[in-house]
Amino acid sequence: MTTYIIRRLIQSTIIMFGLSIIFFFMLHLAPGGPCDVFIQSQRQVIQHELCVKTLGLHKPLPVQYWYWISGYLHGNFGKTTGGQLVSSTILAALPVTVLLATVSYFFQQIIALPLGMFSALRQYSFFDTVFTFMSYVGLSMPTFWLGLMLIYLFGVHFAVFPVGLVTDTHLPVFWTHDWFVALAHDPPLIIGDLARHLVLPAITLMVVGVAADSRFMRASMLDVIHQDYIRTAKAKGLKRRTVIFKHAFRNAVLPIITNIALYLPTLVGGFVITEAIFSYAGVGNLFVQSITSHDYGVVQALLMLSAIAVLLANLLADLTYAWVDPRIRYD
Amino acid sequence: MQDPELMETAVLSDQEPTPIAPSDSSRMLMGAEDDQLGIRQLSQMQLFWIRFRRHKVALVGAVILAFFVVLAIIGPYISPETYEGSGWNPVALNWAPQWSWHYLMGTDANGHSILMYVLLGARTSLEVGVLSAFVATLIGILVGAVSGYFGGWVDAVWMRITDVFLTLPFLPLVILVSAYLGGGNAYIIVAIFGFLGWSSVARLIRSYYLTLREQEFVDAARAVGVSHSRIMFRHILPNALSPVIVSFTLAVAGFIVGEAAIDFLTVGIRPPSVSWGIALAGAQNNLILGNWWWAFFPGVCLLLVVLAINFLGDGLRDALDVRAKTSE
Repeated sequence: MTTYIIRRLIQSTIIMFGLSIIFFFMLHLAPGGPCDVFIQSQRQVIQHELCVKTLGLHKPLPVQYWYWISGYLHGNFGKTTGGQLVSSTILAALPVTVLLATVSYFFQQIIALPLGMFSALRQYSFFDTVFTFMSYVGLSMPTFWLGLMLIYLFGVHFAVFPVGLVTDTHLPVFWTHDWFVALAHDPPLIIGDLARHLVLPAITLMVVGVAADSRFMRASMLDVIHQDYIRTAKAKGLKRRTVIFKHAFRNAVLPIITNIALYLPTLVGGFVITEAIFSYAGVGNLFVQSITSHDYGVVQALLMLSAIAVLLANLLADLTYAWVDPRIRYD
Repeated sequence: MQDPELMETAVLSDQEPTPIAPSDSSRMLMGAEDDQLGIRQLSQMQLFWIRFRRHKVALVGAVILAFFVVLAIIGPYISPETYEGSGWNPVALNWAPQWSWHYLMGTDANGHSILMYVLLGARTSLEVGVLSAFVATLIGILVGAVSGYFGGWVDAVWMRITDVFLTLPFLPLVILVSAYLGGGNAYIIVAIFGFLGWSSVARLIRSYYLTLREQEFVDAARAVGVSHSRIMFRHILPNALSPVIVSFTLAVAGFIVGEAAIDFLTVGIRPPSVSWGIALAGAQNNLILGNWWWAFFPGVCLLLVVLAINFLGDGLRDALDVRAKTSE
């Protein structure tokens, strides 16, 4: 097992190296450098030169790559074009994405697991057919269109939910010092405000998620209820409830739980489209904004972080599989 | 075409998937007992059609898709206007849908007919989707075939490269690259999708080649001196075609959504080209005015096309008897 983990870590390191080269050159060979914003302004030449100097853009590319990657290994992600630290910019956006991800994932599972379970227990019934059709619709749903329709229906037509942002503009920004002070002062107001802004983006994410996870749960449950030990449990005369919840459900839900690991990368990658639609100031939104403002540093850091997260999550998922199911062995 | 009993015999295998290779199961169905039972021999194509026809939803998907293919072909001819031919129209700003062909789906903030977006966008969507899937599948087949067939260090190197591409965050990278290279050209977007999206196909093809290259017909071909490339693409590839067809179909759906997504984020195709994603992007900023039709109709088309392709892909998966294969 230890050798397996070590081998996987070495493999991941090699992959990360390849990825870092791709990310670096892809961004640097592309037209429209980060300092080009200054060309349009009045004090163009000096500003531009200063920007080039601070970001080290006048040095040869391999040298730049070396500075960049060794900085990363020391935990130094560089600076944005605005002069802030890249790491603090990302850290400011991270809580928003984590909030959105955890809340939507939680409710997604609460809905998806029973749906999948009951449709497996009543396979080929009317409910199962309708459910299967709906899950196809959910899986095919373009999230950006769903988001727009939700904004129109609940934000504009019925006007029950705000159409964007994480908190109201007159309230402090989420996860800052002021916000915590306000939270301590008036918890219902702050939490309520946060929740109202969270509803529409969370639903947008949940539709696709529920469709995928309930399908997965259905397949997993079908797999389990045809096993011998379920027949044995029934033959022993156990109550249907006991068979379903104690014997079948527990085993069927294992693959779903291990799948949580594969969900982790979204925590750092963010939800690019959903956050963009709702102007939800998370990591995904930051990514899109950084691309439009040609901010290399942030884009590179986010790409690297999400790639690392994907690699670690894959490893974690494989290890959890082996942990919950002792029949799986890696050599 | 076929009598009912025959159909029942033929479709037995798709009710309860059994671990038998496609060629074996069809051989069993039309095999040795032919004479006693009086069963007519069925070609692979006929067997496929019998299984596919059972999948009602896939048929519905095929019909919907056919409708949009027709729309993509004749759309520009029946469209009430072209994008360039209809500039700012102060008479018809933000009109709700009305009972006339021109304004059937209302207009946008410049007076363009939404019907025009729907009709012309069908071509863009399908074109980009199919071409991207074609490019990605082609690269995937090449890489998968070479590394699965030769094995050894070739395999090791190509699979590490494939791993790198599998790990790439697809959507963020597509957004990034098309923001830098895009500039409204559909073919650049096809190239980006194709270049970034081949890795899963390569993995799939490789896994088929790993088993197929050990079979007797490959040894036989090698023994009579058939060249490597001919064995790879003329002897082995036809046996691995079913998973290719299924993954191609599902890739089309994925790339159609991807294309609409980058158009929506305004880093993909740009006006005067027309696409459903462009319509949605324009609608986003004006939704607050309550003009739902602008986003609704192009979005419904997008949903229908993707849904139809997914249904079709699922039907094909059952009919071609493709099972999920683990990669290593």
